Amino acid sequence: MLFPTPDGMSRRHFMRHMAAAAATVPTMEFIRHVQANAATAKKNQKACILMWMGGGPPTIDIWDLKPGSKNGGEFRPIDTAAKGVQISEHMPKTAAVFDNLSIVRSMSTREADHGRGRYYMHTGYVPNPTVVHPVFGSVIAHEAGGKRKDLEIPGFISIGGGAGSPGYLGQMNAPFVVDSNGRIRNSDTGEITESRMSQRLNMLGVIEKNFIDSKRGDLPQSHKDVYSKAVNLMTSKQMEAFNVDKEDQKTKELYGLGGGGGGMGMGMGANNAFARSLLMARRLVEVGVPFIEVELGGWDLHNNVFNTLKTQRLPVLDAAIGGLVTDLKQRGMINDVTLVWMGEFARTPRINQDVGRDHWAASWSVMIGGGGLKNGQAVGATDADGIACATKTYQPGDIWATVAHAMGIPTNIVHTSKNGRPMKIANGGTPIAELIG
Amino acid sequence: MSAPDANTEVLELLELLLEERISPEQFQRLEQLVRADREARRTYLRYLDLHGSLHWNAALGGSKSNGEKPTQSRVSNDEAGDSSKYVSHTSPRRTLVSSLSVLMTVFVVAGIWTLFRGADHVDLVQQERNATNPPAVVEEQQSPEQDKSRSSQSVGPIALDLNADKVTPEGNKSEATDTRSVATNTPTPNAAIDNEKTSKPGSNESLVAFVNRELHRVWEDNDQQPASVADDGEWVRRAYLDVVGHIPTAKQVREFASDKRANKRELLVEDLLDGKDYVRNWTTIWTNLLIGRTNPRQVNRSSLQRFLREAFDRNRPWDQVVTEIVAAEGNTEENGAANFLVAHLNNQAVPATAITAKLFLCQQVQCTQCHDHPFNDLKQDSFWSFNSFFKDIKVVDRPKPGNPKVRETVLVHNQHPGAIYYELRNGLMKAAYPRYDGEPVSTDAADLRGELAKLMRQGESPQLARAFVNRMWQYFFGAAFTSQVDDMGPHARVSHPTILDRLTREFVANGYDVKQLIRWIARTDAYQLTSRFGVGEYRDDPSLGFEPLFSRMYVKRMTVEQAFDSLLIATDARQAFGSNWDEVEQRRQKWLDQFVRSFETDENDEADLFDGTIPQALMMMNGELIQQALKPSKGTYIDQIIRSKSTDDQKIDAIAFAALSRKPTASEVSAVRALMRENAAHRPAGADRGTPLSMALQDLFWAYLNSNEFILIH
Repeated sequence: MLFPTPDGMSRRHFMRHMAAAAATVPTMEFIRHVQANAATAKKNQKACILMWMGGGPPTIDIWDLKPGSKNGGEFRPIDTAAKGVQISEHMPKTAAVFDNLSIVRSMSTREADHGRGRYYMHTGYVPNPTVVHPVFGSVIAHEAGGKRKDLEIPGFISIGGGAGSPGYLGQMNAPFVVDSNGRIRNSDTGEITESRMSQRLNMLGVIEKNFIDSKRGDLPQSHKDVYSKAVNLMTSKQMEAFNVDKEDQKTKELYGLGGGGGGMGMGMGANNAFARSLLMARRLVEVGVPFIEVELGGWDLHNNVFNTLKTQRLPVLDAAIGGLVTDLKQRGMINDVTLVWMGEFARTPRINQDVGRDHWAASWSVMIGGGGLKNGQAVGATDADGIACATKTYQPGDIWATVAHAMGIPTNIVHTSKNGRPMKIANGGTPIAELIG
Repeated sequence: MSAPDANTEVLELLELLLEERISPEQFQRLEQLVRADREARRTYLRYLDLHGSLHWNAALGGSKSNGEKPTQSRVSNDEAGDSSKYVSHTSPRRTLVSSLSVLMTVFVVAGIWTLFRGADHVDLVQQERNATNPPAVVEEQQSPEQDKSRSSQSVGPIALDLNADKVTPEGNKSEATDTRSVATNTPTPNAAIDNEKTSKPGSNESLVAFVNRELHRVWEDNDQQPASVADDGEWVRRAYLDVVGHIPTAKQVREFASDKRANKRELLVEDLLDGKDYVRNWTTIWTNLLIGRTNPRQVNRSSLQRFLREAFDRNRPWDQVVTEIVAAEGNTEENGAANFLVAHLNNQAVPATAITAKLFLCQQVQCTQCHDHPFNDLKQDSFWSFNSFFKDIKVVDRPKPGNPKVRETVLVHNQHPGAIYYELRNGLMKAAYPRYDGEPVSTDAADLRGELAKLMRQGESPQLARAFVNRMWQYFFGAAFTSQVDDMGPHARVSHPTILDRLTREFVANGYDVKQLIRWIARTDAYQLTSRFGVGEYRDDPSLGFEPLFSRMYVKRMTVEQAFDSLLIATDARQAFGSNWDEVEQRRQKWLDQFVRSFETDENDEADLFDGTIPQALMMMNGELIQQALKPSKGTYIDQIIRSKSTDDQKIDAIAFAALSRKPTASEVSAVRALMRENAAHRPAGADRGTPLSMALQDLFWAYLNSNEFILIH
């Protein structure tokens, strides 16, 4: 299909990738393809794990406490392993490893609506009716995942989260969404033997080609590409990375999982899903997945914020982050894996009549760490009541540019949108100077 | 400097301009580039055209709010200070840059305009546009600049390009002229269908003729040759999917193909509108819109479905349906309409406010909750005035009177607090009272939300009707008149203002008759076209960010419900599930649960994980539903085909018609034959046993159901 304007590297890259996929699957050889590519651990590959706090977390109660202010709330700050940096008293395990983490305390984003904020923080761009921007996981899948020839599963995996659009980077870079239990539904061909399956796939190829050749836009080809990825996945040994139960007991315990007789079965509460997801994320990093998003929801705390934080959200968050950082350190992966913690926005410094906090985007915090960054710092600051940034402000583009920098992806890459506009990755954001040193 | 570099620079500067980050020096540079280079001018025009009024109003909003009123400028300064680094420079400079950019862009566009276009054409489009963008929730305060700015953006990007090329003095490009001469050969499409118009009762000849005339005019204005008319198989499949939510059976396709009546398409739509699957389809669509696929707490889904089923079955006027939903009170079991507000009344009714505006008025107001709209004139105050209509009710969970063992959820009347207080960005509190489109309603009104509904349907062309027409059009064509179906705010450009306007008025005049609107849409020339591109038609693609011309049918993905129901039809599996509505509904619900995920926010928003994803592919390849349907056990469609006495070719035909509503192609037939030979040569063992033919037919059916052609509505 022709386009009115010459497209840039994204499209060329996309085509190349497609050609490669078409050459390998589906063919009669498809089962041999599996044996040839046994899972191999690649510990030194760069990756990013995004911890997505759906609903908008109250960062004033977690990372940037305001004791003494009327907005301060019920929690006290405690010291951390990073000198001079204090965080919430309900985050002790995270505090203990904080020399590997940092906070950016002067985020100022303009979107305080869930949908718009989710879009802005994930893409770096404000929503625009003429173009769909890729979420940053798709950018990483495109830039890093596409270059990892041994990677048979998608380069962007979202555990327990929403989807997010790959935008102009195409369906090949869409997130693969899985549950925290790691079971991939329907990935088993059941009674159908492999040779029969490849016959079917050959037949499918014939039908799909007819439809693609009839020229009806991008969707028919996109469908075929997704099937290639799905077949790749069905036949891959790397699928074992989703199976957290293969981890040894000691590692599970690091994340607060598997206590009391080692039962990892049905008794698991939903609270452990986040820890389990982070452990899965580490396993996925080991097989070469460059971007994993893990969701922890339940932050839309318009009422009863302190009780909910103290008894539910923060214990879950704290144990899982503490476990992940310790695990990554022990395996020598902490300098290769960049961690980002954010939501679509944060919550009002003012405490409302329902002892809740509402939506707030003007002055808040994002946590970032690992990835060989200069960690153990708090960058930027808010004023005494937390209602404004007291220093230089940062936007999501700056966070994503920092991630790109840490992963060795040039920040001057420009993609081309479907309507021919150049799009800088991370919306032209700048890596945060204090963090990249 | 080479052309691409200059172009990139222009684009970068434009990006800065758009985001209000441009410095005066950069702006001068942009002016220089645009003046100096023809290519840059083209880029400039195209870019501005793409961004349309979004850009304009953004710049104007910035300068306007720094006006003379002290309170207003206070708010806006706060906003500038805490929102982002891009707008954090001092306000005088921001004002300067904004006004500069406005004046400059007005000047350049207006200048190029007069050079390139005949003035009368512009006026025509402009009048239409103004006429069809009445302020809905707000009073418009138009400054002279704004008027000017609007008048300079009323033409599609394509026409602009072609014309720019043609008239630029130094650019007598021959290929531009060629394009033009090819395109002027545009034949009038489907004259046959035009002639077939009969005066069926309830049909409105002059309206459909008007819509067709306008469609053709826009195609001509844009040098866009429409695609050819879809053949029967393509059309009947699409009509079934759009109107009743699933594909036709093989039998229905064949019957339609052999129907010789001239107006058979119209008659089919009529039949479909009368069927129970029409009711089921639109109940599904509106249940999902009103409360989502993941059921919010306290909501009685099946009761809401009963309400909608009755509404679509009796074809109740849309304004009535909306009134009952908006003004609902009572028990969620007894009054299904109450479930919408029960789902969204949390958090001071903020979600109810935003979602009511989005669904019924196609207005995005949620960001005005905290600040004035950045791109249009919606003010924070209008959000909260709208919000205060929802302050006289609350959701109560209580033991049922007379039967205390059973609990019930009830939407009960509550004393209205009088004033609603909201926080300005500077921390001051302000009061708001019920007000819609400038009209206040007393908080003492006995039926406050009933009054709101009355105001929503006031006038000849209320936004309530425009919004529904826009939604319906988008549903049938895969693209709305506005780039986003539920964003029809004052800044949103309307692709076919005359059509939207006329359909809206007629919809109102016909008493909000939903079925009638569907008849009109299904009879337009645009709906008859194929989804294939014709020659040189590749520009008409909204997915590339272009304004839709509806010169071909855009391909849509099936929703998860359409896919499920279509699989049941294709494989004749519906019998196995029984004809009980609720039972099928439950199975469908269970099946689609795996593809929806709630974001757990106050607005109950959710992600659809079905559209074109790997889980979808895995489910279609290996899922239980497919495996069951392909088993040659008694009663399945495949079993009937295998056992039938027809020839091999007829069997292959039957499979193709069932899945794709068409004959198999030559390449498909030869692939099946090759498979049969292979199966005969290497007889597999175990669970795969079967005759060479039956196995090949199963594989063919599997491949058809898994194909792009099956899952895409075209």
